[in-house]
Amino acid sequence: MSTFGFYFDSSACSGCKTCQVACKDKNDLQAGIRFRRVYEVAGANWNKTDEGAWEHDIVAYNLSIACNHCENPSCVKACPTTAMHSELDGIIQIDPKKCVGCRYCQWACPYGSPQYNRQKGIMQKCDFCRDYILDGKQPVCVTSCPMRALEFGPISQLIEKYGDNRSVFPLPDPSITKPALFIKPHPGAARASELGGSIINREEVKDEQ
Amino acid sequence: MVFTLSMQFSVGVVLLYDLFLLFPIALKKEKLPLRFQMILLVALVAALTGVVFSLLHPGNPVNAMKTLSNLNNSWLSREILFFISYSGMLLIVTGLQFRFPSAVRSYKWLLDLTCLTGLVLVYVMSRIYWLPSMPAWDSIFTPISFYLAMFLSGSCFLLLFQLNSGSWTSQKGLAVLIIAIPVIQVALLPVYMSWLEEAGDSARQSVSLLLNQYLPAFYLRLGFEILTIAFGFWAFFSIRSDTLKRRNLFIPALLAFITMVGALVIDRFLFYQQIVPIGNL
Repeated sequence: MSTFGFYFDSSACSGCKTCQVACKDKNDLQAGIRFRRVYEVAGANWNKTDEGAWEHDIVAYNLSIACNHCENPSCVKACPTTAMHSELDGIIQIDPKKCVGCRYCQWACPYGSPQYNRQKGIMQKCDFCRDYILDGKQPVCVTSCPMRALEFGPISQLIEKYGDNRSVFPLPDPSITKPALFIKPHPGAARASELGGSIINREEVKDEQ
Repeated sequence: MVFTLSMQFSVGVVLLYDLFLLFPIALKKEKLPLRFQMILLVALVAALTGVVFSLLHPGNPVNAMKTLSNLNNSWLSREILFFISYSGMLLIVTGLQFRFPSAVRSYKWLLDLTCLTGLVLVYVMSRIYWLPSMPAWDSIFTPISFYLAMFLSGSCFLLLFQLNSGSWTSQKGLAVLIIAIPVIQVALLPVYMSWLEEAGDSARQSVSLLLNQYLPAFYLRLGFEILTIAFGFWAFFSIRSDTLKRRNLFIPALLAFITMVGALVIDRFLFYQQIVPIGNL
């Protein structure tokens, strides 16, 4: 079971993508690989008022998603080589010596977290900046966020502080993997599904490998 | 795609060969005709094609061996295990057939075991795709489609291969399979599509992909399946007890084989292309 987790305040996120860029910089990631991705979600309808005018009903918000170091990690179960494994501290890590780059973990993960590095022929993903944690520091995405929308800490503390909500549209049902991700949804998120909301920056966040 | 299709073809050929052709010969203690010995060789070549693709997939053969490390949890590990077992047994039984064509009865148990391993392999192969993250694959329809592909490809090949040497009853049986399996495939399509419609946003997007972006391929596959049924009927009614008239069977059997290959290749192409991950992340 993961002992650490992320808290993400979607209502505070401005979608500046500093977390995404800081993560790429810290991990020296090549073009096309993003351990953290900022999804822009939007949905809207045009409604006719009683007076006959048309008004829109737009919902737009951002979701900053990396590996959620799930309590029931489907990537770990799927990995045929045991390269994808859970450390004692609950952090899901990839052993590059064991990984054969079959990409099965990428299929199994409902959050699209494992990323294929074509040059190295192996999978890579967020490790909570484990080296930083061991030095007593916070993950780089958390410290770089200018809106303080991201927070990192022990799961028990995060639940005590923010509650245990792990779902927001369009993230998968959290019961599948029990992600260590706690979310304060944007006020409009509840309406996004009924408005036919979708990810609108798909070209930007898609896996290019 | 090549791996799954070639392995399902191989297992289908071996299984139906065992049931339809070898069983009567073993009962009569007859010598195996040379033509029949070639059947297992074709199945072995198909399996070895799968070997080449599976070895290349993880980079090199050493990497392939690493994939056996998580048999407790990973269906991919289990697939590699059953794949190696099946291919190994098929290699041995093919060698035995060529070396001892008169002693079929003595090693038929090994062929039966190979068939059983092959059936498990096809199931394990389908379980790889049975992922909650991929709603369009996450259902009983995946193993059903894999088993149907296995039986159809095996029966089409065997009917074509035993035109002049097979028994009247086995040919009739294979022709019935060539008719029945595409009928089931076509009948299952609306059931599968309506199930997808109810299985959440991502699954609905898969339906949308099939009926919009891949509509020409979807119809082409349907067309090939209907043609396979038609050629299956033609073959069925061309089968005669009189061996001299069996040449009539060649054209429908060949056409059924060609349309079957077309249908299965497009079906598998769509299987991979229709996928929309849950949450569409």
